[in-house]
Amino acid sequence: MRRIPITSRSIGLLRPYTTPMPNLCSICRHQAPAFSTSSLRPSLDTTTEKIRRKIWGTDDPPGLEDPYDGQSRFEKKPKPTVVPRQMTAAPQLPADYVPSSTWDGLESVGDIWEPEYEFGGFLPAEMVTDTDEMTAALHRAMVEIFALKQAGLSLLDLPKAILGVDPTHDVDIVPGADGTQLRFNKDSSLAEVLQALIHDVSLSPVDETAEKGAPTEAEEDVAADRSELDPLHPDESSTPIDETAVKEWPTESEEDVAADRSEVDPLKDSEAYMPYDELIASWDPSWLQVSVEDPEIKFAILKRTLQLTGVRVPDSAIRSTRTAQSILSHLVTPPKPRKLIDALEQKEDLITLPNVSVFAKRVTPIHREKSIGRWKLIEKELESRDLPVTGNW
Amino acid sequence: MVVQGIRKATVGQNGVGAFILQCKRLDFHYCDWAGSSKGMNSFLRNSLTKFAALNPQVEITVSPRPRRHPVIKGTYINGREKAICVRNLTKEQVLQKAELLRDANGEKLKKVTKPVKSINESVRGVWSPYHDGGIHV
Repeated sequence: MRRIPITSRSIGLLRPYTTPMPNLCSICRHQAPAFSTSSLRPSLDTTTEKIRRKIWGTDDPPGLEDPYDGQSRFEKKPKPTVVPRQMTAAPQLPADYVPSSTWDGLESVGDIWEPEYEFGGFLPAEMVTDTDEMTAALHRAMVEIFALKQAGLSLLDLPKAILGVDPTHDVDIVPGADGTQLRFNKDSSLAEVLQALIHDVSLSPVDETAEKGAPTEAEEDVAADRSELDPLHPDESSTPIDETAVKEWPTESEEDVAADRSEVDPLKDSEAYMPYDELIASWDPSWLQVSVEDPEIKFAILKRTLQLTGVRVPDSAIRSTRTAQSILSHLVTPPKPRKLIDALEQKEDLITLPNVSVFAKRVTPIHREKSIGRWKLIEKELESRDLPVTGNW
Repeated sequence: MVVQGIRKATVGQNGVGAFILQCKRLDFHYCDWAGSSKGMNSFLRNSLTKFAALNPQVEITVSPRPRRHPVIKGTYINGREKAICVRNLTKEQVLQKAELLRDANGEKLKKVTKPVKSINESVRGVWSPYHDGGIHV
């Protein structure tokens, strides 16, 4: 077969001119490639650089010096500088300190834990689930909030701790045209509610300027606390004490004064043992229609209810609540029944139908025999024949 | 109180004297877990109250049947039972099946080939004015 000479290949026509290769023989000269179609390896020629400079418009275009050296620009991240760790000075230990090898005789094991750093949550540890208890908690929260408002105090003055004695049992909330009012019955008063709510004596409505004869023991403590007279050095002169000045930080003894002067007997909590359903029945039912449209009041009531019960009203429901009833409906909404039997038992109209019977468990043939009183006979006959008493239970 | 059929000394002709519904009990079995009971559970939640109130002569029992397909079982006064599996049916389809069982008479299904059903069939057939010679006065 006749071989086509290389010069006659079509690709050879692209050769612009014939390079003279005088050192090659004619055969080699024909077999040698006329030119290479692959790209040129070295890219650092001046043409590339010129184009790059033109593209970027600067004399120092970004990018690698040699794009074919295998290193990407992104791989060349600066290494994070290692900051040498600062050595803190060890606490000064007593000279005679010997670490113990056993825990015998140690007061505590591990780190020193101060009780003041202990976390005290806002919510109670246990969530209230009883409907009546929830209703009573909402009533208490509303009485307290409206009492604060009636006394002209800030609604943010709520205590963090929940007091055991609830003084709001005998208080009715009465909706009125000119605003919601509190009606205090025989064993309750606004002062009592506020006093249980706010520990700060300066905020409580107890009259400090009243003339007080026969000081109580706690009052003498107050005088001793407030006095700048050093009991150990009574000879030193003292400045007169202005008793009428507003006392910002009441002492512990002053709180005792308030407790002493108060007509509230802290041990009188017989109403606390009243069942919740009787308690709720004793209130005027119109309290559920009290408007809570004021956002400040609504927020304060929800916050206090959350604190008392641990039940959170969803944010989406807060906006639509307008009365105490609607808040209560969100608080005591029963959970969706997980089983069909629970849903059916809640349907009064179905359960009360005389021709309907609903069973929680599977009804077996033995149940049917028992319902017509035949199972005992079957059992007896089976036993008399020494047959096993089995079946679908 | 279950409706009891009267022990018959003669052939009963239901509907001639008083109509007695042949279905005396309907058992509804469902499963709480399985998806094939979805329509049945929906029927029991939403439609059973109305259905039971409309059919006071039928005793209705509802009981679970775990890990099984939902079933409606009808018991008839002739002593027979009919059961229909209502798996994957919707609430409306379950209601249709319940009505079908309620209206059934408990007999085995038979092919109806004759226009008239009678307990005393005549060998002469049904009289027709068009095929007779007519009355000549």
